[in-house]
Amino acid sequence: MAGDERQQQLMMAYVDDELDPREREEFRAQMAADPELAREVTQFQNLATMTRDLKLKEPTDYEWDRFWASLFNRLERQTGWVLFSLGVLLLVGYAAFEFLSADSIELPWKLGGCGLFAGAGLLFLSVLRGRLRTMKYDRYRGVKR
Amino acid sequence: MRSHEYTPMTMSTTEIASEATDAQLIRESRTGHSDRFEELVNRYRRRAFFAALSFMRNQEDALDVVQESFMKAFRALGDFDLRYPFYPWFHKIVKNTAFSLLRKKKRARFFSLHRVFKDGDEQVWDVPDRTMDPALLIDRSQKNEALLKAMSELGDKEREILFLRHFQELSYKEIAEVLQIPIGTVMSRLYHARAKLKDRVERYL
Repeated sequence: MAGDERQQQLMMAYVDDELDPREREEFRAQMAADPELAREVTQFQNLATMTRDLKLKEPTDYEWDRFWASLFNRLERQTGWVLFSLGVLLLVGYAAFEFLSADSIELPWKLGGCGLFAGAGLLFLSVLRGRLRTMKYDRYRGVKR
Repeated sequence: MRSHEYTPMTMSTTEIASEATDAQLIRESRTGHSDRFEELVNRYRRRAFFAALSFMRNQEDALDVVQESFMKAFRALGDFDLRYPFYPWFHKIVKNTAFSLLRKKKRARFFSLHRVFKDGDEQVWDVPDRTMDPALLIDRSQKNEALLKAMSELGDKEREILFLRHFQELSYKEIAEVLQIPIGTVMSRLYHARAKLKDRVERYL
């Protein structure tokens, strides 16, 4: 079996011109002595040519231009959202700290403010969780306009 | 086997050649030079397209995979180890993205196997055909259609290696590097893929 596998590997390397000159000569000698092997190699060579000749359509230059424009747009938006979110987090954190540590603001105002933000945060998380849960089953998510 | 000195992987004429190495482009992309990232995209988009096509089997999905893969690569550029070649790392991203999209499509199909109404008749959605889109062929001769169909019927690994060899025109050493397998495995996998193809298109050989 190991011999068979080596033979198969050499056959592929011969067909794809990946053998060094000495190995190529040795393999040619094997083919000369074994017509069945030579016939199989010829079939593989024809198949390789047939596959090489198979020309597949590629995106046109226009499609590649649109591809880059859309990719660039997504990258730009992603960076924008990251910076925006960081900025919001920093500002909200700092404002909350200032608000809670300010001596001039009375306790009822502070409690009210905390309730307001905690409630808004909770509502946001709840909506987000709901969206994320249903998103993977949304049949229309991949639909493009 | 023929010994190969390390050279950057061969580039097709449609890919844009540049003096800069991949490492230089990545280093500069990391510092926010989008033009350098664009150069990297242009350098590898065609190869990535064929890699994606080997899994997705139609142009539109392949392009989606390529775009998503470049997005992921851009996000992960900071973690990329510059001592290693870029393409094997990127190929893995393309492959994972393709499989992830295929999984999503499968899940969406599962949830959409409901009855729809057309011309008053009740119908059940068909499971889409997984053969490669024949419209991809430039020359749609019977022989080429048969070969493309035979390729669709191969396993993912077998089709992937044939695409790497024939459409991305990589040497055995490069394929081994991309798939991170020994050269002997490259040859064996090619043999098994081609042997199956040969059986299916024997009458054209």
